[in-house]
Amino acid sequence: MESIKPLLMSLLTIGAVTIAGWTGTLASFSDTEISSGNYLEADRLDLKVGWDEYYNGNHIEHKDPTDDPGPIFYLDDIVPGDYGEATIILYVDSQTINPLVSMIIEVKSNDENVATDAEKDANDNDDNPEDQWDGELAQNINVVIWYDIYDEGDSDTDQDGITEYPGDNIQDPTEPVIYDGSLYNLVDPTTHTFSIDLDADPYTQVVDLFEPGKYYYIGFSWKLPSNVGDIVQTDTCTFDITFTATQT
Amino acid sequence: MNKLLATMLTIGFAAAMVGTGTIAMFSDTEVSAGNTFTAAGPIDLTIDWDEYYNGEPIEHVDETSGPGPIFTLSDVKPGDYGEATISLHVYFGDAKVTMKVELKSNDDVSSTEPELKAGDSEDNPDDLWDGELAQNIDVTIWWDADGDNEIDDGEKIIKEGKLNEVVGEYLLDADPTTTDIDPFKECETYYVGFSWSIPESIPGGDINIIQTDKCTFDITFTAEQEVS
Repeated sequence: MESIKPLLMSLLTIGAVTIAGWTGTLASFSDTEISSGNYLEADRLDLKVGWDEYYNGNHIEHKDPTDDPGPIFYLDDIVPGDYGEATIILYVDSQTINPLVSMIIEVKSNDENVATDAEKDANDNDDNPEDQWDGELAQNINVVIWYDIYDEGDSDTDQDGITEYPGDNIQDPTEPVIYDGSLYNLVDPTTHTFSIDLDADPYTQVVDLFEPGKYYYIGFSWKLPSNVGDIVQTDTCTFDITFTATQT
Repeated sequence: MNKLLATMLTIGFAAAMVGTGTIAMFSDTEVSAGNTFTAAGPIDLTIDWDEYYNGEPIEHVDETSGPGPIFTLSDVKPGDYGEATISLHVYFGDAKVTMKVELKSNDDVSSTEPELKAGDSEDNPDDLWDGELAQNIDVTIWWDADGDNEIDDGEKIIKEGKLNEVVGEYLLDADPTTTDIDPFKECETYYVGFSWSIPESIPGGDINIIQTDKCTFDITFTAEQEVS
């Protein structure tokens, strides 16, 4: 057994070297717990606007709610006695967010364009080409803005036999009115804007937030009275309607 | 000492086999069979956690060796915040413990119109890293000494920054009041807090850019037996 000692010693050395080579991975006991698959995923808030529009009683346009609405009203050559209406459809695309939705109407111009002889006979001034605000149309167009939300639950049939429903383009007497008057008086005289936080349920005392996945309807009707006279001839008024949904 | 020697021999022979080509001269064999080692027991790490979302408790998970994800939050939005305090336990010996945070994806998922208006590009379905959420989540990882799910005065911040900035591996200090990094003692409970929040706005930017974005991440704790 004496002879084996050197071998034993050298084997021990090899063993030690080998073990040393392992230290990087097997230095000691270890345990690992992995919490994998953690995630955070953001919601979305995307307002879409559409409408159904009538002109002198005829349906002229339907637009599904979209991110890119063009003008709702684009009416040339209206004459006294004309009337129209668009019920604007608002839709909130989101998973969980109930936003505050506001509407801003800004009159951008109320222009004379040109002064016809008939207009001058009606005491209008000559057109000032530099002035975008020398027209008389906005003062003479009457608009009604209202919540076209007739509650189906209170099913009702009018005397004319038409059953009302939400977004039906008909201003039912029970539907809350936001504004009734001239387009000119709707907006602030200096900023030319009108602004309102829309109420998802205008029958309550507070301004209710919109719920995602539902349709809300705002009626916007207009009428140029038949007795308006010649003073509005060739006048043009332009306006923007801006809807904004904001997470609160 | 005898037993240890014998085991070393066995290991030594195994190693020597590789070199038999050169050491094939004399040989003798002594068999020492039936040696037994009973290890002190493998180090065992377990975790549990309590989680809050917008101030409300949403999850409690009991001590486990097989944790699933801690954070599984859909539909987060600007102004949201949350926190999980993770408690850590080691058994069968003191251990040094590391925490690793690894971001696995930061995806745009899809593009909404407000998101595009905010300057985002259309989602690339093949790219898991084209989102903006991780860059806009504020994260604080800290030593929640009293395990109350709140950052108290004096509690040590381990790392803070946006989610994409807090990735990394951190050696945890069982006693931040000393200058040394102290190992975890067996059977003690230690707490690490992980809080997150999404700002309501981005200075000079538009927070809509994070809409529908999703980021995924792993949190790995490793306990390694402390060799004294």
